[in-house]
Amino acid sequence: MAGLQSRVTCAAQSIAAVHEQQAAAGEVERNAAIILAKMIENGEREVRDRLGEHLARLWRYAIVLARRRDVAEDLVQATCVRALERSHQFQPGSRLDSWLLAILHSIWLNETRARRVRAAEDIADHEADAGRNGSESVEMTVHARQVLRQVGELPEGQRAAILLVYVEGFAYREAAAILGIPVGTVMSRLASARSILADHFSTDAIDAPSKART
Amino acid sequence: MTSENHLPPMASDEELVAFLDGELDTAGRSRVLQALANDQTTASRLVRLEAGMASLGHAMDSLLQQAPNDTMAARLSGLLSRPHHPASAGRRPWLRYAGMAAAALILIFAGVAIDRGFNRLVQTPGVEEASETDADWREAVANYFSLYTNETFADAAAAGPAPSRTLDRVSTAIGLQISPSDIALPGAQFAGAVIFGYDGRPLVQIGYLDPRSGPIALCIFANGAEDRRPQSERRQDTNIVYWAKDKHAFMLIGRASTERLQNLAELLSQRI
Repeated sequence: MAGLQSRVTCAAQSIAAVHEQQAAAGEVERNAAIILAKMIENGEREVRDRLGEHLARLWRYAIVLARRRDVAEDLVQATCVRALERSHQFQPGSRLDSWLLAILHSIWLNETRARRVRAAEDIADHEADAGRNGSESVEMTVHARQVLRQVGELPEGQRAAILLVYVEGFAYREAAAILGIPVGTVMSRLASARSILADHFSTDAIDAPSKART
Repeated sequence: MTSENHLPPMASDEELVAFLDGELDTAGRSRVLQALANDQTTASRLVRLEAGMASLGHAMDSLLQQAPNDTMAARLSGLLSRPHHPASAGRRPWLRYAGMAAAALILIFAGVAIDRGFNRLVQTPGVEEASETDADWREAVANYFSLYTNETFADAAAAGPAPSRTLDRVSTAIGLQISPSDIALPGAQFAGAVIFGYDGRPLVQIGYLDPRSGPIALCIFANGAEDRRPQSERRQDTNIVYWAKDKHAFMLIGRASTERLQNLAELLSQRI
């Protein structure tokens, strides 16, 4: 009997302890919600204020993926729209560029690629229209055009991987997060791309660098 | 890509590239350095893979200069001048805060750090979590395999069964007992076995040279897959038959006809 009483007392103490924990948890929950709200506001502001700094790099990624100027511009615009809609999801202080590139990549995969016109243009041909935008047109060297043409011929996954790792300078892990694929796949894409490019470069390197600007 | 019948093991192209990119851990770096020291072909492969990456940076810088900055800036300022309605805010603010409280609850009671939860949100904006991971490894293999030519296995192909020593090593790596007769394929010569790492787990490739269609590879990946009957697919201009058994995923890949690969896969899936 005494044993039963002691068990009942223990149970009552446990219930009281649970109530205290729940009250404390309620307080923590409210604080967390306030912190969360503040972070969301900061994230939204950062996206609106700094989106413009990343347009050119977004465009370059878009043109490497889509290989068409019109599609690339639309892709950047769609990325801006989506980023503003989802600015509450951006964590202030984290990398805005990788967040934007991941959005662009996801729009390309899920929406734009399905509707794209089959015939790809030559990536290197995009300098032709640059002047019409009022910005100073910088001419590409013959060699740069050759390199871009060769990159344009790589499979899409490899183009994306080499741009993110070798041009944007992301670590394998970061590139994998942007592309939504395992790190191992990034590694195999880079190895394949470098192997293919090595074949091109070893033949082109003989004459190309010595050529003058166009 | 690489076939190895001798020690020390050669470094794969992936390892060499990761080495060049400074992405290998200490153990991986010493493996590559050892391979470089012991094997002249590894050194020449490294030099070849390194070629031309400087040109890439220059070309991509030039491409950046071609961006239609003015047009894009104008379109963005058009967007920003619209009334601001992020997807989560707007008509029903209570829903937003209820959602946030719920999120907070989940984060706290699941014991998940807030920043980690956010990282997940941040890293996959708008990306549907496709259950494609079991297809990823096949895509990785197909990417590699697409570079194989008849010459890739020419040196490694040998008449007769696979050496038991090689298969013992493979069996240990992948956690499956495989004998030379298990993997013998009618009409194709065994052409070496390679142990890769994929996603931190061993991936074994057993190569064959088929006089009719060229290279064929049997790949085994210990990914804990559920059992699955052989199915066919096509990736990177190659035919693939894949199946899963005893927590291992298998794929037979080659440029042979789907029918031939299906027959061979049927044979393999009964033996292993």
